Amino acid sequence: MAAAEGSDGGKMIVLISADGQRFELPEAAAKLSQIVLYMIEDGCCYPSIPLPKVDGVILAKIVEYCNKHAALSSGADGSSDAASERSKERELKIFDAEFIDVDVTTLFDVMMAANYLNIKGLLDLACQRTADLIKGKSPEQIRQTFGIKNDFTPEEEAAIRKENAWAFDNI
Amino acid sequence: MAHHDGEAAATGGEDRLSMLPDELIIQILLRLDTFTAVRTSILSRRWRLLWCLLPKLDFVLSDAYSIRTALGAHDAPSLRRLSVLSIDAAPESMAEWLPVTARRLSEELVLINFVENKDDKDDKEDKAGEGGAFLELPCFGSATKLSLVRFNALAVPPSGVFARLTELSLDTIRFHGPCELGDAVSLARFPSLKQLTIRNSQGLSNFTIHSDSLVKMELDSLKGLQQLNVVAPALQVLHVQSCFAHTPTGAQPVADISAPQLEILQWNDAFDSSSVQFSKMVNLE
Repeated sequence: MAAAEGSDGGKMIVLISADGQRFELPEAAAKLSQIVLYMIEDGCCYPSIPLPKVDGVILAKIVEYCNKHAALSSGADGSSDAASERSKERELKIFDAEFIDVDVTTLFDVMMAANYLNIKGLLDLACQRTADLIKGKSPEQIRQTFGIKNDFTPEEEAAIRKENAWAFDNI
Repeated sequence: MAHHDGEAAATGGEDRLSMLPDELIIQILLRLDTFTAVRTSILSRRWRLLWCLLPKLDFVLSDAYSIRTALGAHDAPSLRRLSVLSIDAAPESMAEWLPVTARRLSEELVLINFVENKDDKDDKEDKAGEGGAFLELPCFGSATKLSLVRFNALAVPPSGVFARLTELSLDTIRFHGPCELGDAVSLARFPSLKQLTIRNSQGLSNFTIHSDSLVKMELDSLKGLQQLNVVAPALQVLHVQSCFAHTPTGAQPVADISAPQLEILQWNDAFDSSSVQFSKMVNLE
Protein backbone atom coordinates (compact mmCIF):
# COMPACT_ATOMS: atom_id res chain seq x y z
CA MET A 1 0.00 0.00 0.00
CA ALA A 2 1.31 3.43 -0.85
CA ALA A 3 1.91 5.99 1.87
CA ALA A 4 2.20 3.18 4.35
CA GLU A 5 4.43 3.35 7.35
CA GLY A 6 7.74 1.49 7.21
CA SER A 7 8.92 -0.95 9.84
CA ASP A 8 10.74 1.84 11.69
CA GLY A 9 7.63 3.99 11.72
CA GLY A 10 8.92 6.35 8.97
CA LYS A 11 6.84 7.11 5.93
CA MET A 12 7.36 5.02 2.81
CA ILE A 13 7.39 6.39 -0.75
CA VAL A 14 6.55 4.39 -3.86
CA LEU A 15 8.37 5.07 -7.13
CA ILE A 16 7.16 3.63 -10.44
CA SER A 17 9.68 3.06 -13.23
CA ALA A 18 9.10 3.61 -16.96
CA ASP A 19 8.30 -0.08 -17.39
CA GLY A 20 5.82 -0.08 -14.51
CA GLN A 21 7.93 -1.62 -11.71
CA ARG A 22 7.16 -0.50 -8.16
CA PHE A 23 9.87 0.42 -5.68
CA GLU A 24 9.02 1.18 -2.07
CA LEU A 25 11.61 3.03 -0.03
CA PRO A 26 11.76 5.12 3.15
CA GLU A 27 10.99 8.81 2.71
CA ALA A 28 14.47 9.73 4.00
CA ALA A 29 16.05 7.69 1.17
CA ALA A 30 13.66 9.01 -1.50
CA LYS A 31 14.41 12.58 -0.47
CA LEU A 32 18.02 12.23 -1.62
CA SER A 33 16.50 13.00 -5.01
CA GLN A 34 15.85 16.72 -5.16
CA ILE A 35 13.02 16.14 -7.64
CA VAL A 36 11.31 13.58 -5.39
CA LEU A 37 11.89 15.88 -2.41
CA TYR A 38 9.99 18.70 -4.18
CA MET A 39 7.16 16.31 -5.02
CA ILE A 40 6.94 15.17 -1.41
CA GLU A 41 6.93 18.78 -0.21
CA ASP A 42 4.21 19.64 -2.71
CA GLY A 43 2.17 16.67 -1.52
CA CYS A 44 2.04 15.08 -4.97
CA CYS A 45 3.74 11.86 -3.97
CA TYR A 46 0.63 9.77 -3.22
CA PRO A 47 -0.22 7.12 -3.99
CA SER A 48 3.03 6.88 -5.97
CA ILE A 49 5.54 8.87 -7.99
CA PRO A 50 5.83 7.89 -11.66
CA LEU A 51 9.32 8.26 -13.16
CA PRO A 52 8.72 7.78 -16.89
CA LYS A 53 12.32 8.50 -17.83
CA VAL A 54 13.93 5.85 -15.65
CA ASP A 55 13.96 2.16 -16.51
CA GLY A 56 13.29 -0.45 -13.81
CA VAL A 57 16.78 -1.96 -13.96
CA ILE A 58 18.38 1.43 -13.34
CA LEU A 59 15.77 2.57 -10.82
CA ALA A 60 16.57 -0.57 -8.80
CA LYS A 61 20.19 0.58 -8.64
CA ILE A 62 19.20 4.13 -7.75
CA VAL A 63 16.97 2.85 -4.93
CA GLU A 64 19.84 0.67 -3.67
CA TYR A 65 22.11 3.74 -3.58
CA CYS A 66 19.56 5.93 -1.81
CA ASN A 67 18.71 3.26 0.78
CA LYS A 68 22.35 2.74 1.66
CA HIS A 69 23.18 6.44 1.86
CA ALA A 70 20.10 7.32 3.88
CA ALA A 71 20.76 4.46 6.31
CA LEU A 72 24.38 5.47 6.81
CA SER A 73 23.98 9.25 6.73
CA SER A 74 25.20 10.99 9.83
CA GLY A 75 22.84 10.74 12.77
CA ALA A 76 20.50 8.30 11.02
CA ASP A 77 20.66 5.84 13.91
CA GLY A 78 21.04 8.41 16.64
CA SER A 79 24.70 7.70 17.29
CA SER A 80 27.02 10.57 16.66
CA ASP A 81 30.43 9.77 18.07
CA ALA A 82 33.42 10.42 15.83
CA ALA A 83 34.52 6.78 15.61
CA SER A 84 31.18 5.53 14.35
CA GLU A 85 30.98 8.46 11.90
CA ARG A 86 34.35 7.47 10.50
CA SER A 87 33.43 3.82 10.15
CA LYS A 88 30.18 4.81 8.39
CA GLU A 89 32.14 7.02 6.02
CA ARG A 90 34.47 4.13 5.26
CA GLU A 91 31.55 1.79 4.65
CA LEU A 92 29.94 4.30 2.27
CA LYS A 93 33.19 4.74 0.38
CA ILE A 94 33.53 0.99 -0.14
CA PHE A 95 29.86 0.77 -1.11
CA ASP A 96 30.24 3.63 -3.63
CA ALA A 97 33.34 2.08 -5.22
CA GLU A 98 31.61 -1.27 -5.75
CA PHE A 99 28.33 0.35 -6.73
CA ILE A 100 29.86 2.34 -9.61
CA ASP A 101 32.14 -0.43 -10.89
CA VAL A 102 29.80 -1.21 -13.80
CA ASP A 103 30.01 -1.38 -17.58
CA VAL A 104 29.96 1.99 -19.32
CA THR A 105 26.41 1.62 -20.62
CA THR A 106 25.11 1.16 -17.07
CA LEU A 107 27.42 3.95 -15.89
CA PHE A 108 25.81 6.44 -18.27
CA ASP A 109 22.29 5.15 -17.54
CA VAL A 110 22.96 5.78 -13.85
CA MET A 111 24.51 9.18 -14.60
CA MET A 112 21.53 10.32 -16.68
CA ALA A 113 19.07 9.08 -14.07
CA ALA A 114 21.01 10.79 -11.26
CA ASN A 115 21.01 13.96 -13.33
CA TYR A 116 17.27 13.74 -14.03
CA LEU A 117 16.38 12.88 -10.42
CA ASN A 118 18.94 15.43 -9.18
CA ILE A 119 20.83 13.18 -6.76
CA LYS A 120 24.02 15.17 -6.35
CA GLY A 121 26.16 12.55 -4.57
CA LEU A 122 25.37 9.92 -7.18
CA LEU A 123 25.92 12.31 -10.10
CA ASP A 124 29.31 13.26 -8.64
CA LEU A 125 30.16 9.59 -8.22
CA ALA A 126 29.29 8.76 -11.83
CA CYS A 127 31.18 11.79 -13.21
CA GLN A 128 34.22 10.92 -11.11
CA ARG A 129 34.11 7.31 -12.32
CA THR A 130 34.00 8.51 -15.94
CA ALA A 131 36.93 10.87 -15.34
CA ASP A 132 38.87 7.99 -13.76
CA LEU A 133 38.24 5.93 -16.90
CA ILE A 134 39.71 8.75 -19.03
CA LYS A 135 42.77 9.41 -16.85
CA GLY A 136 46.09 7.94 -17.98
CA LYS A 137 44.77 6.79 -21.37
CA SER A 138 45.90 7.77 -24.83
CA PRO A 139 43.23 9.32 -27.11
CA GLU A 140 42.91 5.99 -28.95
CA GLN A 141 42.42 4.10 -25.67
CA ILE A 142 39.76 6.60 -24.59
CA ARG A 143 37.94 6.12 -27.90
CA GLN A 144 38.03 2.35 -27.41
CA THR A 145 36.77 2.50 -23.84
CA PHE A 146 33.74 4.59 -24.71
CA GLY A 147 33.17 3.61 -28.34
CA ILE A 148 33.96 7.08 -29.66
CA LYS A 149 34.28 7.18 -33.44
CA ASN A 150 37.16 9.33 -34.68
CA ASP A 151 35.57 11.42 -37.42
CA PHE A 152 38.62 13.59 -38.07
CA THR A 153 40.76 13.18 -41.15
CA PRO A 154 44.44 12.55 -40.31
CA GLU A 155 45.16 16.12 -41.46
CA GLU A 156 42.53 17.59 -39.15
CA GLU A 157 43.81 15.53 -36.25
CA ALA A 158 47.35 16.76 -36.87
CA ALA A 159 46.10 20.35 -37.02
CA ILE A 160 44.36 20.08 -33.64
CA ARG A 161 47.44 18.52 -32.12
CA LYS A 162 49.45 21.45 -33.42
CA GLU A 163 46.92 24.02 -32.25
CA ASN A 164 46.92 22.61 -28.72
CA ALA A 165 50.54 21.48 -28.82
CA TRP A 166 51.12 22.79 -25.30
CA ALA A 167 48.77 20.13 -23.94
CA PHE A 168 50.07 17.33 -26.15
CA ASP A 169 53.74 17.92 -25.48
CA ASN A 170 54.26 14.76 -23.47
CA ILE A 171 52.17 12.50 -25.66
CA MET B 1 33.66 -8.18 -8.14
CA ALA B 2 33.75 -7.68 -11.87
CA HIS B 3 36.03 -5.03 -13.27
CA HIS B 4 35.02 -3.16 -16.36
CA ASP B 5 37.97 -0.92 -16.85
CA GLY B 6 37.33 -0.79 -20.56
CA GLU B 7 39.84 -3.07 -22.26
CA ALA B 8 37.23 -3.77 -24.88
CA ALA B 9 34.40 -1.37 -25.50
CA ALA B 10 31.36 -2.71 -23.68
CA THR B 11 29.24 -0.08 -25.30
CA GLY B 12 27.28 -2.07 -27.85
CA GLY B 13 28.64 0.30 -30.49
CA GLU B 14 26.85 3.27 -29.01
CA ASP B 15 28.89 6.27 -27.91
CA ARG B 16 26.99 7.20 -24.78
CA LEU B 17 29.72 9.49 -23.47
CA SER B 18 29.56 11.79 -26.48
CA MET B 19 25.75 11.81 -26.29
CA LEU B 20 25.80 13.38 -22.82
CA PRO B 21 24.70 17.01 -22.62
CA ASP B 22 27.55 19.55 -22.60
CA GLU B 23 27.10 20.41 -18.95
CA LEU B 24 27.64 16.80 -17.86
CA ILE B 25 30.74 16.47 -20.04
CA ILE B 26 32.06 19.66 -18.44
CA GLN B 27 31.43 18.10 -15.01
CA ILE B 28 33.59 15.16 -16.09
CA LEU B 29 36.33 17.32 -17.61
CA LEU B 30 36.48 19.37 -14.41
CA ARG B 31 37.60 16.23 -12.63
CA LEU B 32 40.64 15.94 -14.90
CA ASP B 33 43.73 18.09 -14.91
CA THR B 34 43.52 20.85 -17.50
CA PHE B 35 46.00 19.21 -19.88
CA THR B 36 44.13 15.90 -19.95
CA ALA B 37 40.88 17.81 -20.48
CA VAL B 38 42.37 19.73 -23.42
CA ARG B 39 43.64 16.51 -24.98
CA THR B 40 40.03 15.30 -25.35
CA SER B 41 39.79 17.85 -28.18
CA ILE B 42 41.29 15.21 -30.46
CA LEU B 43 38.76 12.44 -29.74
CA SER B 44 36.19 13.53 -32.35
CA ARG B 45 34.43 16.59 -33.73
CA ARG B 46 31.99 16.52 -30.84
CA TRP B 47 34.93 16.98 -28.44
CA ARG B 48 36.92 19.49 -30.43
CA LEU B 49 35.90 22.60 -28.50
CA LEU B 50 34.24 21.19 -25.37
CA TRP B 51 37.25 22.01 -23.17
CA CYS B 52 36.76 25.66 -24.09
CA LEU B 53 33.62 25.63 -21.94
CA LEU B 54 35.60 24.78 -18.81
CA PRO B 55 34.99 27.46 -16.19
CA LYS B 56 38.27 26.70 -14.47
CA LEU B 57 41.79 26.14 -15.73
CA ASP B 58 44.78 24.90 -13.75
CA PHE B 59 48.32 25.17 -15.00
CA VAL B 60 51.09 23.37 -13.21
CA LEU B 61 54.62 24.22 -14.33
CA SER B 62 53.45 25.43 -17.74
CA ASP B 63 55.43 27.96 -19.71
CA ALA B 64 54.02 31.40 -20.41
CA TYR B 65 53.48 30.61 -24.09
CA SER B 66 51.27 27.63 -23.21
CA ILE B 67 49.20 29.63 -20.77
CA ARG B 68 48.79 32.50 -23.21
CA THR B 69 47.83 30.16 -26.06
CA ALA B 70 45.36 28.31 -23.88
CA LEU B 71 43.73 31.51 -22.68
CA GLY B 72 43.52 32.64 -26.28
CA ALA B 73 41.80 29.44 -27.41
CA HIS B 74 39.57 29.14 -24.37
CA ASP B 75 36.44 31.12 -25.03
CA ALA B 76 34.03 30.31 -22.26
CA PRO B 77 31.70 33.24 -21.74
CA SER B 78 33.56 33.82 -18.56
CA LEU B 79 36.59 32.21 -17.07
CA ARG B 80 35.69 31.78 -13.43
CA ARG B 81 38.83 30.39 -11.88
CA LEU B 82 42.46 30.18 -12.88
CA SER B 83 45.28 28.69 -10.89
CA VAL B 84 48.89 28.75 -11.96
CA LEU B 85 51.73 27.06 -10.16
CA SER B 86 55.19 27.92 -11.43
CA ILE B 87 58.80 27.80 -10.34
CA ASP B 88 60.94 30.91 -10.59
CA ALA B 89 58.70 32.47 -13.23
CA ALA B 90 60.12 35.76 -14.44
CA PRO B 91 57.88 38.84 -14.16
CA GLU B 92 58.11 39.35 -17.94
CA SER B 93 56.73 35.87 -18.58
CA MET B 94 53.78 36.45 -16.28
CA ALA B 95 53.13 39.77 -17.95
CA GLU B 96 52.43 37.78 -21.13
CA TRP B 97 49.18 36.36 -19.82
CA LEU B 98 48.22 38.18 -16.64
CA PRO B 99 46.60 41.21 -18.33
CA VAL B 100 44.25 39.06 -20.46
CA THR B 101 43.39 37.07 -17.34
CA ALA B 102 42.67 40.25 -15.45
CA ARG B 103 40.17 41.31 -18.09
CA ARG B 104 38.29 38.01 -18.21
CA LEU B 105 38.44 36.39 -14.79
CA SER B 106 35.14 36.55 -12.93
CA GLU B 107 35.97 34.75 -9.70
CA GLU B 108 39.24 33.49 -8.41
CA LEU B 109 42.93 33.67 -9.26
CA VAL B 110 45.53 31.62 -7.42
CA LEU B 111 49.16 32.24 -8.36
CA ILE B 112 51.92 30.34 -6.67
CA ASN B 113 55.46 30.99 -7.79
CA PHE B 114 57.94 28.75 -6.02
CA VAL B 115 61.42 30.10 -5.74
CA GLU B 116 64.16 27.51 -5.58
CA ASN B 117 66.76 27.69 -2.79
CA LYS B 118 65.28 30.79 -1.34
CA ASP B 119 67.79 31.13 1.45
CA ASP B 120 70.91 30.94 -0.73
CA LYS B 121 69.66 33.61 -3.04
CA ASP B 122 68.41 36.04 -0.47
CA ASP B 123 71.14 38.59 -1.16
CA LYS B 124 70.75 38.48 -4.90
CA GLU B 125 67.03 38.82 -4.56
CA ASP B 126 67.50 41.92 -2.51
CA LYS B 127 69.25 43.53 -5.44
CA ALA B 128 66.73 42.24 -7.93
CA GLY B 129 64.01 43.62 -5.72
CA GLU B 130 65.55 47.06 -5.76
CA GLY B 131 66.35 47.76 -9.39
CA GLY B 132 65.50 44.62 -11.37
CA ALA B 133 62.41 43.38 -13.07
CA PHE B 134 59.17 43.52 -11.16
CA LEU B 135 55.66 42.35 -11.76
CA GLU B 136 52.97 44.96 -11.77
CA LEU B 137 49.72 43.36 -10.85
CA PRO B 138 47.15 44.29 -13.48
CA CYS B 139 43.82 45.59 -12.30
CA PHE B 140 41.33 42.76 -11.84
CA GLY B 141 38.07 44.55 -12.45
CA SER B 142 35.69 41.62 -12.06
CA ALA B 143 37.52 38.95 -10.02
CA THR B 144 36.26 38.31 -6.50
CA LYS B 145 39.25 36.56 -5.00
CA LEU B 146 43.00 36.90 -5.53
CA SER B 147 45.62 34.81 -3.84
CA LEU B 148 49.31 35.33 -4.59
CA VAL B 149 52.11 33.31 -3.05
CA ARG B 150 55.85 33.96 -3.34
CA PHE B 151 56.63 36.92 -5.53
CA ASN B 152 59.95 38.67 -5.39
CA ALA B 153 58.99 42.04 -6.72
CA LEU B 154 55.31 42.80 -6.87
CA ALA B 155 53.99 46.23 -7.57
CA VAL B 156 50.47 47.36 -6.98
CA PRO B 157 49.03 49.14 -10.02
CA PRO B 158 48.88 52.91 -9.57
CA SER B 159 45.33 53.09 -10.89
CA GLY B 160 42.28 50.96 -11.65
CA VAL B 161 39.42 49.75 -9.49
CA PHE B 162 39.21 46.16 -8.22
CA ALA B 163 35.47 46.58 -8.19
CA ARG B 164 34.28 43.11 -7.15
CA LEU B 165 37.25 41.87 -5.15
CA THR B 166 36.19 40.61 -1.73
CA GLU B 167 39.23 38.57 -0.71
CA LEU B 168 42.88 39.44 -1.17
CA SER B 169 45.57 37.15 0.16
CA LEU B 170 49.29 37.86 -0.24
CA ASP B 171 51.84 35.41 1.12
CA THR B 172 55.62 35.71 0.92
CA ILE B 173 55.69 38.82 -1.22
CA ARG B 174 58.35 41.45 -1.61
CA PHE B 175 56.52 44.62 -2.49
CA HIS B 176 58.07 46.85 -5.07
CA GLY B 177 57.60 50.60 -4.76
CA PRO B 178 56.84 53.31 -5.33
CA CYS B 179 53.10 52.66 -5.00
CA GLU B 180 52.51 51.44 -1.49
CA LEU B 181 49.92 48.77 -1.00
CA GLY B 182 48.42 50.89 1.75
CA ASP B 183 47.73 53.66 -0.74
CA ALA B 184 46.07 51.18 -3.05
CA VAL B 185 43.89 49.26 -0.62
CA SER B 186 41.69 52.22 -0.06
CA LEU B 187 38.04 52.77 -0.27
CA ALA B 188 38.01 53.98 -3.85
CA ARG B 189 40.17 51.24 -5.36
CA PHE B 190 38.84 48.21 -3.45
CA PRO B 191 35.21 49.08 -2.72
CA SER B 192 34.14 45.47 -1.97
CA LEU B 193 37.16 44.14 -0.07
CA LYS B 194 36.06 42.16 2.98
CA GLN B 195 39.04 40.05 3.83
CA LEU B 196 42.71 41.03 3.60
CA THR B 197 45.55 38.69 4.54
CA ILE B 198 49.23 39.56 4.23
CA ARG B 199 51.84 37.13 5.50
CA ASN B 200 55.62 36.73 5.48
CA SER B 201 56.13 39.76 3.34
CA GLN B 202 58.42 42.72 3.16
CA GLY B 203 58.53 46.12 1.59
CA LEU B 204 55.64 47.60 3.53
CA SER B 205 56.99 50.13 5.98
CA ASN B 206 53.97 52.37 6.27
CA PHE B 207 50.72 50.56 5.87
CA THR B 208 47.70 52.80 5.82
CA ILE B 209 44.33 51.41 5.01
CA HIS B 210 40.98 53.10 4.87
CA SER B 211 38.13 50.77 4.00
CA ASP B 212 34.43 50.84 4.72
CA SER B 213 33.96 47.26 3.56
CA LEU B 214 36.81 45.45 5.32
CA VAL B 215 35.57 42.86 7.85
CA LYS B 216 38.67 40.79 8.56
CA MET B 217 42.34 41.65 8.37
CA GLU B 218 45.31 39.48 9.20
CA LEU B 219 48.88 40.79 9.15
CA ASP B 220 51.52 38.22 9.99
CA SER B 221 55.30 38.58 9.85
CA LEU B 222 55.55 41.76 7.79
CA LYS B 223 59.26 42.44 7.97
CA GLY B 224 60.08 46.09 8.34
CA LEU B 225 56.64 47.40 9.19
CA GLN B 226 57.02 50.65 11.07
CA GLN B 227 53.65 52.24 10.99
CA LEU B 228 50.14 50.87 10.71
CA ASN B 229 47.11 53.08 10.25
CA VAL B 230 43.72 51.48 9.98
CA VAL B 231 40.39 53.20 9.51
CA ALA B 232 37.86 50.44 9.05
CA PRO B 233 34.41 51.11 10.44
CA ALA B 234 33.14 47.60 9.60
CA LEU B 235 36.21 45.65 10.74
CA GLN B 236 35.29 42.78 13.06
CA VAL B 237 38.47 40.71 13.25
CA LEU B 238 42.05 41.96 13.39
CA HIS B 239 45.13 39.78 13.80
CA VAL B 240 48.55 41.39 13.99
CA GLN B 241 51.45 39.05 14.58
CA SER B 242 55.25 39.37 14.45
CA CYS B 243 55.26 42.53 12.37
CA PHE B 244 56.76 45.25 14.53
CA ALA B 245 58.88 42.75 16.39
CA HIS B 246 61.01 42.49 13.23
CA THR B 247 61.93 46.15 13.14
CA PRO B 248 65.72 46.10 12.77
CA THR B 249 66.32 49.21 14.82
CA GLY B 250 64.10 48.07 17.62
CA ALA B 251 62.04 51.19 17.06
CA GLN B 252 58.74 51.31 18.87
CA PRO B 253 55.65 50.17 17.02
CA VAL B 254 53.46 52.96 15.75
CA ALA B 255 49.85 52.14 15.09
CA ASP B 256 46.60 53.98 14.97
CA ILE B 257 43.58 51.74 14.69
CA SER B 258 40.07 53.01 14.29
CA ALA B 259 37.72 50.06 14.15
CA PRO B 260 34.67 50.67 16.31
CA GLN B 261 32.98 47.37 15.33
CA LEU B 262 35.97 45.20 16.22
CA GLU B 263 34.95 41.97 17.97
CA ILE B 264 38.15 39.93 17.91
CA LEU B 265 41.58 41.46 18.33
CA GLN B 266 44.74 39.39 18.41
CA TRP B 267 47.92 41.40 18.88
CA ASN B 268 50.88 39.04 19.16
CA ASP B 269 53.45 41.67 18.60
CA ALA B 270 55.48 44.42 20.17
CA PHE B 271 53.17 46.82 21.93
CA ASP B 272 53.70 50.24 23.34
CA SER B 273 50.69 51.94 24.83
CA SER B 274 52.10 55.38 24.06
CA SER B 275 52.39 54.78 20.32
CA VAL B 276 49.80 52.09 19.63
CA GLN B 277 46.38 53.61 19.79
CA PHE B 278 42.97 52.09 19.44
CA SER B 279 39.71 53.89 19.06
CA LYS B 280 36.86 52.91 21.34
CA MET B 281 35.59 49.41 20.62
CA VAL B 282 32.31 48.56 22.31
CA ASN B 283 31.83 45.06 20.87
CA LEU B 284 35.25 43.66 21.70
CA GLU B 285 34.96 40.16 23.15
